[in-house]
Amino acid sequence: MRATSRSLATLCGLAFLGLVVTEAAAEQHTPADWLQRMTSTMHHTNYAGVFVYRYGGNLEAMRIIHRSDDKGERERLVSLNGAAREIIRDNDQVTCILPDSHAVMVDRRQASNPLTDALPDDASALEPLYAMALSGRGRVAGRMAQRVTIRPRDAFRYGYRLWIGDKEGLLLRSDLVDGDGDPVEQVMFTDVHTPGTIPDDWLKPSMPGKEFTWYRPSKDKPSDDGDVSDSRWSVDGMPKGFKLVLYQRGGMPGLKSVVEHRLYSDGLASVSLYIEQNANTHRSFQGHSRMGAVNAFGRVISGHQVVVVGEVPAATVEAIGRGVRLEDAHQ
Amino acid sequence: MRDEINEQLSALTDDELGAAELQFLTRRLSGDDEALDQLGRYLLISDAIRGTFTPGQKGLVDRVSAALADEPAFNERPGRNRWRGVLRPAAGMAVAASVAMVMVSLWPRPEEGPQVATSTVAETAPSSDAQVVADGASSTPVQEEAVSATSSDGQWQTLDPEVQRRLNTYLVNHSEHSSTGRFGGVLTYVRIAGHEGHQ
Repeated sequence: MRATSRSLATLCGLAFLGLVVTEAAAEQHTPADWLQRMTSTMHHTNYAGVFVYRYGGNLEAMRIIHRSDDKGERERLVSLNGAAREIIRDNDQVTCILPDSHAVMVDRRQASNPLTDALPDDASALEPLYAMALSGRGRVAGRMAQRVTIRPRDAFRYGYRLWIGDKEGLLLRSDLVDGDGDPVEQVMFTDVHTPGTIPDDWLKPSMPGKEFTWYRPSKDKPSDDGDVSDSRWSVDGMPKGFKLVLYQRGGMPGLKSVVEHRLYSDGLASVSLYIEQNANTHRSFQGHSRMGAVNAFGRVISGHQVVVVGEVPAATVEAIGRGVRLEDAHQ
Repeated sequence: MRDEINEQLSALTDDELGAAELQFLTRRLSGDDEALDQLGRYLLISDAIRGTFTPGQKGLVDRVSAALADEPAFNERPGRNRWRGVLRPAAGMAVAASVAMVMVSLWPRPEEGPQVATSTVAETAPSSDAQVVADGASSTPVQEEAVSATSSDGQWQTLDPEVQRRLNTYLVNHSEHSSTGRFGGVLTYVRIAGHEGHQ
């Protein structure tokens, strides 16, 4: 019995030592180090699991399968309750199967995405807008994780609380929080594993969608060759820190008109401004709407539908939307 | 000159404008659409910073109405159609009420309309009545079915289906660029897969 107690004590001691070593190692890295590692892992690692998505008073369960190999990335996301929505992404396109809408929407993947690259090498670039810190450790889906807090310095952006797994650097839990620290959205794995290989069958859609209406990308492919200085549109009063990082013009699935798209980013949060030449028969979107952390603000200017969308507070999309101007309207 | 006006607008927003400056600014605002727009943005920013912002500005309009209702006397401002229905505060009215008066004229623009903040889901206005006015530009008639986006809860999935489909297109496109995309692809599409199940 005494020997058993000694063994137990030794095991506890070793476990504690292991924990201390792990925590010490974890603390040696900066928040930016953790984010860089996480970003790389989420793109370059095979993983499969079930997570819960919480927003407002709602709770959804979803399955995610992500494969990364020499052919690139492929991902399948399936809603496990309610309508069996599925989203399949590969290198070239994203396909949204929406059985409740009897629709399938297909859009192109962005060949070059200015934001899905790594976080800024110099985290101090975000410092005027966000405060980043390591904020303790936790356990999610049976895995030890480092918690990283990203707190916004004003009301025009959300903050994050991230739990990043020690072992592979997986993002195990993400809370998107408002300025008061209250969660706007939460995503948390309940089970996740990292198989060496993922068979093709795991990534195939469960329904062909033949009986659904398909919305495919317009032949008028968006071009990022355009120069924003040639645009007739301008935006005044952009909230602090948001810079134009992408400008495109072209067609979009299900929309007949040419759409001008501008992407603004503060280095972490991003907001899209869409300006659509509004056909007379269209029904316009005016005012506010939201989907979890995503806020949208719409208005109509001289027959153009203007929509601002982003994972930012309602005040931000409205500030941008109200600042949109048709330059030659005064001429 | 514009910088000076902007400074005064900012001071007005912060309730730090003197009586003489207020008088000058009020006159200026009656004929300066750009200044009116700028004031609107300052107030929006101020509300956001103070945490009093309400999407759809219903709260703002309500506050304006309440501020005006508390005043003992009002007169209709003559000579300017866009101020029709806006009641001018009596002399000596508080700064806040002056701001409120400006806001009444500023916010219910024809293309934005107070109905955006107050009407119900998928309510459509007769297209023949709808007009779209570019900011600072001449009116441009457009055959438009104005669908209010704002429901009592503001939720995406309670919008008119046609409007929702358009927003979904934008959301899918935006998701490819989303900030959370840098954390892996997961979060960006969770909203699309998860939210619509409540329809």
